[in-house]
Amino acid sequence: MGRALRIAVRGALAAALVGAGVPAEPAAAGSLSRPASGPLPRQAGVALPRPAAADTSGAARPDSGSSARVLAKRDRALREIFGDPVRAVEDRWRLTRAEVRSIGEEAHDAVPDTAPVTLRVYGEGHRLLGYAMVLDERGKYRPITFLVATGPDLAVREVEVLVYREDRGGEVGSARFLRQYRGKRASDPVRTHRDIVNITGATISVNALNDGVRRALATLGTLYGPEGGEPALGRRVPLPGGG
Amino acid sequence: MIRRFLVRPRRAPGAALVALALSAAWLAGPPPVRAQQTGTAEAPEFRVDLGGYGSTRLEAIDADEPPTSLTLRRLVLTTDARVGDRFRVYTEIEFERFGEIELEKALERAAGGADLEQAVEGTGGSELSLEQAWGQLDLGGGVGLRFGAVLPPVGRFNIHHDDDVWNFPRRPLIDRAAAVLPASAAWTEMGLGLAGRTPVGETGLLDWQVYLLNGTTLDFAMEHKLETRATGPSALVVEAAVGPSPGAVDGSSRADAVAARVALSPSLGTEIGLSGYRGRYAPDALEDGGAVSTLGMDGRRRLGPVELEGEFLYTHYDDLTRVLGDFVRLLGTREAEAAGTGGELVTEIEAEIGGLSDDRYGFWLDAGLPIALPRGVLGFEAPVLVPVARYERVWLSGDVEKVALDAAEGVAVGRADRRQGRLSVGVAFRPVPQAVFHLVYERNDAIEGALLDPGVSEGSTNGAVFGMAVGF
Repeated sequence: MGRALRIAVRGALAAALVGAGVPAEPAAAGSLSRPASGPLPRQAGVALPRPAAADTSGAARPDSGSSARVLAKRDRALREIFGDPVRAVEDRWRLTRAEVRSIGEEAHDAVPDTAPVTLRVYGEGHRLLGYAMVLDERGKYRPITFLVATGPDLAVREVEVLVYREDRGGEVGSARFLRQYRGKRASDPVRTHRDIVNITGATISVNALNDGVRRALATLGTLYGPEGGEPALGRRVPLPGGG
Repeated sequence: MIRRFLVRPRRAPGAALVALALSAAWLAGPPPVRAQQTGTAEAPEFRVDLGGYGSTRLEAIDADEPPTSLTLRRLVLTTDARVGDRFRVYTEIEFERFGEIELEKALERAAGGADLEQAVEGTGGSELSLEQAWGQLDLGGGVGLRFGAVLPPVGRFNIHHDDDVWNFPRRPLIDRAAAVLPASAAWTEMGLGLAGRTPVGETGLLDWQVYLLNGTTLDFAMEHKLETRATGPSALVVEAAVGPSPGAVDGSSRADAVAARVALSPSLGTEIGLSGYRGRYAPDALEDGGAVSTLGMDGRRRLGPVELEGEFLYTHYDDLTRVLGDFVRLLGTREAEAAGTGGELVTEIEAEIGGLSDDRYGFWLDAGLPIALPRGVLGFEAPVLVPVARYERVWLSGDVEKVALDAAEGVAVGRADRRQGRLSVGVAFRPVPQAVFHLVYERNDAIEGALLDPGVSEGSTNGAVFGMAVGF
């Protein structure tokens, strides 16, 4: 079973911050395939601004979190959550079956994303501020695009709805609802009637966010280690290369 | 099943509505961007969502009527159209206890003339109605201008009446069977108004609606009954069922009512709402009109794992005796012209009154304890079991029961004070969020006068209701 990792410095935000003199994370666009059990070469490369229209979900989802507007909102949200200046490094993954199964079990998600895209967020001095994922979860009629940001300890720092396309249930995008997710970890239920207060008339949207948050926490925990922190070099370092 | 598709409307939905919308849009200017309500499509999006909800019941009580029966309680089909980023059109069409309505007409030659025949066939209790049909322009700042057939925001049930939202198979007495609302829920009126939501602090939300409405009015429905008797003459009874009804939508009734509701939610799961309604209920045919006023207080709150929700409504009819007398006399005079006796068939005229009292008030209080069942129970991902209890009581002071017309004696009005309590205890099971199965024991007690619902002669009833409601 092979796995490919691709990495690129995020587009607009990274370009802006690199241009502003913030030191860039060594990174390169591309991917490498390797046996799952094989050694991982160290990442090397330079920061490359990436075209904004790349698919970040790994699946053909309508309006998935890849459009220029979504990316712009993602950048704004990251700045609001982590503060300026921040720099984000985008990691693209192709998961093994074992990892998919592990994430699925932990997140109670029957079909987890097999090619997730994650973000590592850094502050000044290459200090790791946390991780983030942009997800599309289906609401009643349409996908809800939202961002889950965690601290280095993989506890939720903030959840922000980037695009809500339904005509009803928009209250799930309100700050008073989303603040419930702060501090949630992969070990928490993240479920209505347990630790999340439901919104009457928006139950499907609430459940969609719950599912997405659980999936994000399970994915980040699997990819960056259950305790978070810096990626374990030699084990899960994003790789340069073609692909 | 949900079907979604993209449509490009050939023309705007109504010239007057569009003119009003454009005017308001020009006055309001561009709305502030709100991430949670803004689409990502680069071009304006035109789309229609089809959905709805429905409910069925199996009920049995220890009285002769109604019989143990399976009921297709209602099926509501909805369309939700987004016409560009800031304009939305929403409709609900309700089929209530609906089986069939069929109209037959025939014209045939006959010896020396022709036979004209018209017949209406259908299943008993069937109703087809337009429950909502409105357009809304987003003015920005969380405020929308809404115009069309709307739900007057009185109490919390009328505006949140979808069956699948509730953990009980029956609507509360004060909203439906013994309505304290000026008309039974789901109560629809032609209205023009504003609806808004404003964040209050970090965790609060202010939700408000205010409308100008046509408003409820005394109306009648003509009912024909043929009463056959083995001895003596049979009777053709023409009965005018008189009661408050939603205002007309054909432009024939005055827009002289207002309704408003303000609800403050200091935090998720907690809300308190105040609402009111005032309008003229006497039909325009009467010169002197009385007013009907309704005040409502409602709310919801979480107490630990228990969810509480309730509503109190009070309605007062001004000058009810005078207005009712004038109306029935007017009605009776007109019908009397057609009255008469022919052979062995006697034509009688009656007027039956319902839903009118000097004062009507009552409350309901729901308590539920949602229990998130382990994943995989019965094969469902996130099933929820909710033990539930509801207590409700309604008071009708000076309830008008019947008015009989007699040309010699005039109008005879029968009144009574009536009071009923109902306790419902049971369990609701939600295999998925938008579907619920209920099993509820119901106890009805006539505290004063006869039972209002069910309309039986017993002073109390015990019954069980099994229901299913699904939103889709």
